[in-house]
Amino acid sequence: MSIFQYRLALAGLVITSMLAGCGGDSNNPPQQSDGVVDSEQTTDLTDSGPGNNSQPVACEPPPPNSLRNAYFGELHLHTEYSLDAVATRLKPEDAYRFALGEPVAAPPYDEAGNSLIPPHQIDRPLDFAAITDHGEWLGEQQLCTDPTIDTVAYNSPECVVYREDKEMGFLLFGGGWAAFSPAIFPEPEPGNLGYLTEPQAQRPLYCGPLGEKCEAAARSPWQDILLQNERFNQPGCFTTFNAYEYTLSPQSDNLHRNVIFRGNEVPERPISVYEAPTPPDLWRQLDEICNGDCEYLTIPHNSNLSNGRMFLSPEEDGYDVDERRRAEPLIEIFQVKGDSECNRAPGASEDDPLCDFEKLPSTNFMEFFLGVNPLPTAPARTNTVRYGLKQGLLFEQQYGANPFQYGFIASTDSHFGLPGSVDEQNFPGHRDVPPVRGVKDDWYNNPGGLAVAWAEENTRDALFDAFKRKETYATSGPRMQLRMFGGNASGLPENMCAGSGESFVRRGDAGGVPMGSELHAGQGRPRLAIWAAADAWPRENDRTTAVPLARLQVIKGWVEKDESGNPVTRQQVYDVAGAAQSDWQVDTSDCSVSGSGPAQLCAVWDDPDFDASQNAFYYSRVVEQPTCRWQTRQCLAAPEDLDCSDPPAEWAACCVAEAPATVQERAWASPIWYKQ
Amino acid sequence: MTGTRHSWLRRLAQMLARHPLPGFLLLGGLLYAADAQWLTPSTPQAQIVIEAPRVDRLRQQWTQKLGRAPTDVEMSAVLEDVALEDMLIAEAIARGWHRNDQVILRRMKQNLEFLGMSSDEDALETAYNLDMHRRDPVMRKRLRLLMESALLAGAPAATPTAETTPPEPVLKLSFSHIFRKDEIKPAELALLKHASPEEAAELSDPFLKAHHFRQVNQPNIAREFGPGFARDVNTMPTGRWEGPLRSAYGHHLVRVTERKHVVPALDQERTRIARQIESEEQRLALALADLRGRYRWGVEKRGEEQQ
Repeated sequence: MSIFQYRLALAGLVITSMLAGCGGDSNNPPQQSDGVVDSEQTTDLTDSGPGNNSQPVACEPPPPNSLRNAYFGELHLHTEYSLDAVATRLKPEDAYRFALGEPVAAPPYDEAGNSLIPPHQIDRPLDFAAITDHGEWLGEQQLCTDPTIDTVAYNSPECVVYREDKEMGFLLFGGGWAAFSPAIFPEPEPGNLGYLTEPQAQRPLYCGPLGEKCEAAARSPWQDILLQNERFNQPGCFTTFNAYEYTLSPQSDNLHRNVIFRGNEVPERPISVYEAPTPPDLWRQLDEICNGDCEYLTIPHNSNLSNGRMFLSPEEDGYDVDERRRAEPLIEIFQVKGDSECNRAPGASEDDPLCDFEKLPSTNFMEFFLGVNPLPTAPARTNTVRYGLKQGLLFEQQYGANPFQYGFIASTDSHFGLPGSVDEQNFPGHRDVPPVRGVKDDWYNNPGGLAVAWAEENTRDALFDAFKRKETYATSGPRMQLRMFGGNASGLPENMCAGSGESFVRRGDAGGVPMGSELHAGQGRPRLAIWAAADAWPRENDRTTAVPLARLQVIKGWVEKDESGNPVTRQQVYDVAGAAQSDWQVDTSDCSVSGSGPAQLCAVWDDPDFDASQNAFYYSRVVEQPTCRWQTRQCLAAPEDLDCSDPPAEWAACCVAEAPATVQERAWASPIWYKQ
Repeated sequence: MTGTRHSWLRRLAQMLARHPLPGFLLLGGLLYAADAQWLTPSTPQAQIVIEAPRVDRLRQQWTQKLGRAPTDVEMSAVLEDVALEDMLIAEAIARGWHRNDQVILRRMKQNLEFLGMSSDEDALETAYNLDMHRRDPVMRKRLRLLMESALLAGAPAATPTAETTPPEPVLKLSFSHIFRKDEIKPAELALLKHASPEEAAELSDPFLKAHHFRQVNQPNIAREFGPGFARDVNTMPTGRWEGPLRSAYGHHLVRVTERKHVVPALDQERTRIARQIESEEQRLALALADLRGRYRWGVEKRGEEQQ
């Protein structure tokens, strides 16, 4: 595949926009229907005024900050162009307008495309966003929805089914076909690539014998995504990234990756599983076409749905350790389909109660979509990022380098085209068609989180550099700030928490390393300096009350020898600031909160169990005081006489006993690794 | 006859040369007539009637997809959209595009071949008589797109806007703040109000976020301290300590050092393109509105029309 030097051609944009203007109603964003608004869900944003901040061409950026600012964004989002975005009619342009603070028409819609809910608006604009529509099926979706591209394809049985029932269509020839048929994507076996000889034959028949129709049709949405990325990118004010999702699900085990490009030089179409059936194939093909200004990184997500496959050894999974380390600096630890940090399965983190957080009751997509999983199931402990970090320490001993030296981010994975729509109080659902009134999503999903990068300024280069050096953290939605430096007692003074944030960062930079970095043998006992500040935005009690913090923790994982001399991994959670108990209270009958808690938590912490011979990682976790979970809030509007022995479908989630009533929002700082 | 015609044309040309104004009016009249012929419906206030079975089908489709029947308002929105599509298709057919567009002809022939019929002229005529071009979704979409393209092309050009029109100025503030976790006592407050902005950090309790902010706007401040705090700072005078203000973190004495209205820098090319896109969208919307005004539409109900 040749490099397609994508530069914004003005004429191209004009032509594209003209074509879009000629495209009929299917190309127009849906308009809000009058008379069907639900005033309970409207959000008053007059305080913040983000709606006035959405001019995509005007920007007066603040000066760069050498101490770096926290930029909050979205790195995992789907629009109408994704085959499995079955409910939304929002396109990339609408998604960016939403990210900048404009209200948009969110699902569900009537037949004419009018939204049936009030205009949906983010509570505060994002700093950056990437649209990651599935690289697979871009063309399939276009052919099934636009009769003018190819009439035979449009009228194929697959497309007829898709138009009647998009979810069924997706399962039949999209993700379901690719993921649930072992014959289509058998477990990758290094050295045996015979089954990859005709990958295009795995596409639906209407794509043509070599998939050529779908390949060609994919160019239009890809071009639109690129054009909108360029249009809305405002260096210094709002950053967009060219990106897509690589959607590999062998035997329905999730190995998806988001591919994020630094700049404008990108492939002429996404490299999908059809061209690159394994992640190493993906990296190699991206390496082939990505040189010069074309730089990329891939971000895996949902290890919780990988059925133990995300963190296999180089032999088991057929990757090169150095290649993976270079291509994959970050991992998405949290999103709508749950938390992947840790769980309390046997042998996992049974003594860490905070792991009971947004757990998905599925191990792969088979179980997620169908509720059953006849395939062999890996131990649940192998599905967590914490397990992956520990496995990385083991593999480092064996292979000389750690393949899983991941920094953290979170995102939403919204399939509604709503980047950063993480407000528990205003969750519109994420993929399936939501009810107009009722609980908007399955009880086990959640609004998702945000990616945060510490960068000098809000530009592609500054943010991408932060991603590469892993000076990033993940939040489950709220915008708390979390800063961490590692070093030793001589470099990081004990009184670092006593001064200003500016002096904290100057000292951290001068005498230590920031989150995402490495410490090395000879520097002595690791010392961490960690400072967290609560999200100052009022979210509770009718948006008058900000939520304070509760606890700041350090999670350490290390490798040691067992009695037989074999390497084994261990872990320990340390409370370093705050307290488990406070006077903070949540009344789940009306979701009001009361009480108090710290607005900041800071600690300078020395590892009490340090052993210089043991490789280790340290990451920090800060948790808020509890608040009502999204589902509890939505169930406040359930009928008073709701009969849980036979509930209507739209309120059935309110009768699920195992659904948690409250949530402790949190942030996770990228680890710092100690290496011998 | 030929000589007579040439003579008439020559006289007309001479007249136009002598009297430009009548010539201009004549030319305008001809253009108007052509416009009326090609870009307006053949019959003013033409009617679109949505058949009752079709209404039932639309209602069923809605119910199937959303699990409930549409309300009157929702159904009205659906029908309006259907009526607009019918108007566009009727306009396209009035222009004969169903007979001379190659995509539609190919689709017609494909349909006939699919039915095992020949695709000769007679068969095509039969298909037209059976309204295949009005029923087939591909042809309907094609006709609609063609008509929308024509409307856009024929819509009056938008008034060119001044491309250099600057955006609204944004108020940017520079300020320092002294942070205290607990309430500041009056005696201390009096002392702090004599501090210089440079002393803000050392006079503060520990605070992670910055003590000095340069050229930030109200949304920037709101993200750091909350919307209420930002609103208060936004209206503060410059050059003296104000407050204390409350935030989620505690108490802040704030000293605004600069208030400046800044006109955001504009990328001229992007602005031009964005305006062009907006203009095209507006032109199409206006053309569609004009089209709607030239039709009456209603719903068939037991042989009588509503609406």
